[in-house]
Amino acid sequence: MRVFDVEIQVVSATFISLKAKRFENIALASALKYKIEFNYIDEVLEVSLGLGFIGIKFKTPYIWLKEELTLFKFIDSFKIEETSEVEQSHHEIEVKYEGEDLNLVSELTKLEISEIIKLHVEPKYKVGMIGFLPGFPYLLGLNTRLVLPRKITPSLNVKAGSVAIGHMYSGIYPQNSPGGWFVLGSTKSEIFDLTADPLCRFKVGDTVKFMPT
Amino acid sequence: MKIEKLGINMVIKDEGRKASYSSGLNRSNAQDIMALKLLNLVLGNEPLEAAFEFNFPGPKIIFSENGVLALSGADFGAKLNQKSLLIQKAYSFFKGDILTFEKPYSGNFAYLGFFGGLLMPSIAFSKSTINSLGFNTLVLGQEININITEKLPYCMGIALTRKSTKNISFVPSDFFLSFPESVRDTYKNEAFYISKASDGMAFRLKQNKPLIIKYENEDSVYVEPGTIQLLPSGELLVLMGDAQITGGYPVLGYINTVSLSVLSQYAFEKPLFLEMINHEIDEGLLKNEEMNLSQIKKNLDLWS
Repeated sequence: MRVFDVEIQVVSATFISLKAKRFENIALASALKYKIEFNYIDEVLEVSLGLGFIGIKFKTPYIWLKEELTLFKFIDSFKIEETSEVEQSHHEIEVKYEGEDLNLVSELTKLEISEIIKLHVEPKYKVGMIGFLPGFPYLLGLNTRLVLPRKITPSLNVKAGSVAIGHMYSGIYPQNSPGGWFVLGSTKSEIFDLTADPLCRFKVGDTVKFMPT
Repeated sequence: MKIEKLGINMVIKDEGRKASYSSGLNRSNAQDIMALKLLNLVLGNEPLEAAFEFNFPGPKIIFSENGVLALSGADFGAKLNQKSLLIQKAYSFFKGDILTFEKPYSGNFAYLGFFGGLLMPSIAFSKSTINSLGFNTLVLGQEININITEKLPYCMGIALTRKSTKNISFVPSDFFLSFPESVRDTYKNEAFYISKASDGMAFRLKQNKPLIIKYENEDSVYVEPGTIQLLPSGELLVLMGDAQITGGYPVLGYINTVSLSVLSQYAFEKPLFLEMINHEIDEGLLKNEEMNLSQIKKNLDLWS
């Protein structure tokens, strides 16, 4: 389903995801988040941001279909001009490149391990989304030579702190978990803490640089 | 109360976390939300008060105070001392009483709740366990307190049996609707079975002759309990209460909370069929269930 330039994905009876190129502007997307949460306080439970898309969780099933105009009103309200600056943070993450999948990645990409590390360290990544696990950052900016499909058989226990690549992303496992990405290294940096405020070290739009140790 | 023996996959569950996706925390709601609601109706609690959720074999619990309990969802042959307990009925217990579970009669996920609810901390408005972070993780020998309230519970049962069905209804995605009719018919007409590789994160549905559809690697998108994903093997993943919040497999559609509750208790070896419905019918089903629950509550209020 598409309304204007916004592609609407219905995730469930109470959750829709809106995707548009202009939502990649974090300042704009953040302004929209606050506008939706403020204007629809009775209807909306949470607005979450990804790079290029916005997730909206409603309190009541199908309330977004109640009046035909509701969705159009939503989309129309997105035509905001003013965008206040959003504070973005930069994070430097120390990584020990001794991951268990380095040899496998070398085999699949036909790259030397030293080249893989160099290509992984080079970019300044951008947090595109938090998901999969509490605090898990999907980092955009991976060199195309390192883009691989996810593992056919996921590893049963990827250790917390593992720095990995999968599809077009790089990421950091905040907790032990099964996982289908290729582990290149590990970090001791804490990225999710239930006792902290905010819980998660990263937010969408933040930048991340890996520092080899 | 003291947990003398843990039940399999025993956790605390409620409606799940409400505003948590921004930090990547999943919902972690009760697998059978409808059973949780019935449980709390019987107890006179708030509809989605937290309870224990577990598979068979169930726990052994020794009570260190007096209170009122009820069971719902799967029937695992509960016994209080030597007395057999029915599900969806409130029972008084006293200090020193022992609760055990003898035999799995029906269902997969059992719920044990207490009048007043469990006295446990919340995060993002939920007491649901997050085992990976050690939040409200239950351990052997743990002492757990019940929230004491002055209100009296309903001390009667609800004679309610779920309508037996082989059909699980789902609302299709645009991706599913883009399939040729012959392919869609295969999903509709061929039986699925719940694979034993299923768990609280996802139920795997397999067909005798799985339909393998080739697709490009997808970007990760938001998912929720009830999302149906298509695996490269042709199996379907129905995301359950403990599912992650994003996923990269293509989405075939979603199952509402009522049907997901039914699926969560479905026998693994029995055939089931997917029935495609639209938004309007789905909304009607959800409203109907809410009306049923509201009617039960009214009746209980009248009797008490």
